[in-house]
Amino acid sequence: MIEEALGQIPISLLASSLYATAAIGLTLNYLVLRYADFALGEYITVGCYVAALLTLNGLDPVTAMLASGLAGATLALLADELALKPLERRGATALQVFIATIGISLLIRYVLSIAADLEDLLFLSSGFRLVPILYIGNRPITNLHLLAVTVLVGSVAALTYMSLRTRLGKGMRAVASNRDLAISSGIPVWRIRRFTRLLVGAFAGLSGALWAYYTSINPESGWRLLLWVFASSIIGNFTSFPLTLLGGFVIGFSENFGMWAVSRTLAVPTAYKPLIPYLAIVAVLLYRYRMRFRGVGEG
Amino acid sequence: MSLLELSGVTAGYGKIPIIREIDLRVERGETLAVIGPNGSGKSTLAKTVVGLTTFFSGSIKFDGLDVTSLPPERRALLGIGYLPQTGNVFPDLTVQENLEMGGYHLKGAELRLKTTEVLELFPELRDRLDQKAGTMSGGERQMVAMARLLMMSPKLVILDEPSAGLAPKLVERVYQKIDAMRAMGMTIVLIEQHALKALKHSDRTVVMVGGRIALTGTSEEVSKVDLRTVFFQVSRG
Repeated sequence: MIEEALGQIPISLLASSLYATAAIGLTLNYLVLRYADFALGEYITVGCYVAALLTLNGLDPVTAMLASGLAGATLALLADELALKPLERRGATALQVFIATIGISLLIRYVLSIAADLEDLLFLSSGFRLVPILYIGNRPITNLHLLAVTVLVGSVAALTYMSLRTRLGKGMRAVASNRDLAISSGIPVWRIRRFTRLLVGAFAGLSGALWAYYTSINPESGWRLLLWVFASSIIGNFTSFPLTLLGGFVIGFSENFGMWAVSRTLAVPTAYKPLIPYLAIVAVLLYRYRMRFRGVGEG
Repeated sequence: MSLLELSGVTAGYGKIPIIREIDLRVERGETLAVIGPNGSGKSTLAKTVVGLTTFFSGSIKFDGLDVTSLPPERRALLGIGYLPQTGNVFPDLTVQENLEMGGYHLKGAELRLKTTEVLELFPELRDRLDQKAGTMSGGERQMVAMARLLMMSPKLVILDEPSAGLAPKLVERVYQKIDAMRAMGMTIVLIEQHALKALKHSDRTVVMVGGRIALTGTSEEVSKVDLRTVFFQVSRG
C-alpha cells in the first residue's frame, strides 16, 4: 500500500506540471486582457496534434514541442485579431468577449474533429518513448517528467524575468495594473495585447505537446483538460502566477492522492476523478467569499 | 498657431452629450484654467482632448494636426499628456517603473537622463523608487503621477483636479510643482474645482456651466467676476 501511495507522486508531478503550464497562460490572459479564454482548451489540442504528428514523422520531441508552442501561439493570436479584438473595439464587455471565446472554442473543436475524422486521426498516439529514470513507490520518474518540469520552470522563470526586467514585460504589468492610464500614456497597448496572446497560446501549445507525449489524444483532449486548468487558475485567483503554479500542484496532487485514497477505501470508481477539481473550485470560491465578507453582519 | 484648438466640439459618453459646442484655444506656454461647478463638463472636456469620450461633432487640432479621429494612444505620442483625477498611477508598479512607463518610448541613456531630469523636480521620490505606487499616500501618489507625466515630455499637460482629496499642505506642494512646470514654459490646462486656486495659478480662465463655456478671459479679469452669479445665471437659463 505504501508503494502504491508513493507511486502517486510521479503521476501527480507530471499532471501538475501539465496543468500549471496551461494555467499560467490562462492567468496571464485574464491578468492583462481581462477575460478568461475558454478556447485555451483548443490551443492545447492543436499543440497535442502538432507534437504527435511531428514526432510520428521522425522529428525529435523537443523541437516538436517548440513547434506546438508556435502553433498554439499563432492560433491564439489569430483568434484575438479576427474575433476578440474587433469585438472589444466595438465596446463588447468582458462577459461578451468570454462568450465569444466559447464560440471560438466550438468552431476550432469541430473543425479539428472533422479534419481528424477525414484523416483517420481521431485517436492518435505520439509514440513518445517513456524512459524510466528512477522509481518512487511502484511508478517511475521518466524523461517526460524531466521535460515537463523543465518546461514549467523555464516558462515561469522566463515570464518572471521578462515582466520584471524588460520594457515589454513591464508594459504588460502596467496594462494589467491600469489599462486606461496605459492607453492615455502612449504605451502601445495593442502591441502588448498581441504579445500577450502569443505567450498565452505558446503556453497552451507546450502543455498540449506534453499531454500528447503522456497519453493518446483526440480532438477533445484540450477541452477535457480545461476543468483542471481553470481550477488551477482559480486557486491563483486569476491574478497571481506563483499561486497559479501552486494551484496546478494542488489540483494535480489532490486528484491523484485523493482518488487513490477513495478508490482504495470506498471502492469509488476513478471515473469520479473530475469531482476533485470541481470540489477544489467550490472550496476556494467559498473560502474567498467568506474572507471577503468576514465581519459583515456579525455582532 | 494655437497649440490646441477645439472648434464646435460636442462630446460625451455613450449616446449622451455632456459638453456642447465648445470653442477653445490654448496658446503655447500658457496655463489655462477650466473651472466650474460639479457636473459642468470640465473633466469631460479634458477626456475629450485626450480621446477618451464619445465624439459627436466638431474638430480638435493639436500642434496644427487634426487629431479628431486619432485614438488616445496616438494623441499621447503626439504630446498630449493627461493626469486623470483618479487612477493616475500604476499601483502594482514601483515608482521607478511608473516613471519608466511614462518614458516608455525612451531607451537606455535617454531614459536615464530623462529620469534624472524629472527627479530634479521631484526629489522627494528619490528615496522611494522601489516602493509600489499603490502603497503610497494620496499626496505622494500625485507626485508620482505628475513625475510620470513629465517623463513623456508632453507638449501639453492636462491636469484633472490635481488637488482633489488632498490635505491643504499637500495642495500647496502640488501647486508648487505646477508653478515649477509653468516656469519651465510648459503649456498646461488646469481643471480645478478650487476656483480661487486655479485663478491664482493660471494665465487665462474658462468657466464652464452645464456643458458649455459661460465665461472666458484672463484669470485676473475672471477673478473680479462674482462666479456664483455666472454659475447660477447660466444654470437657470
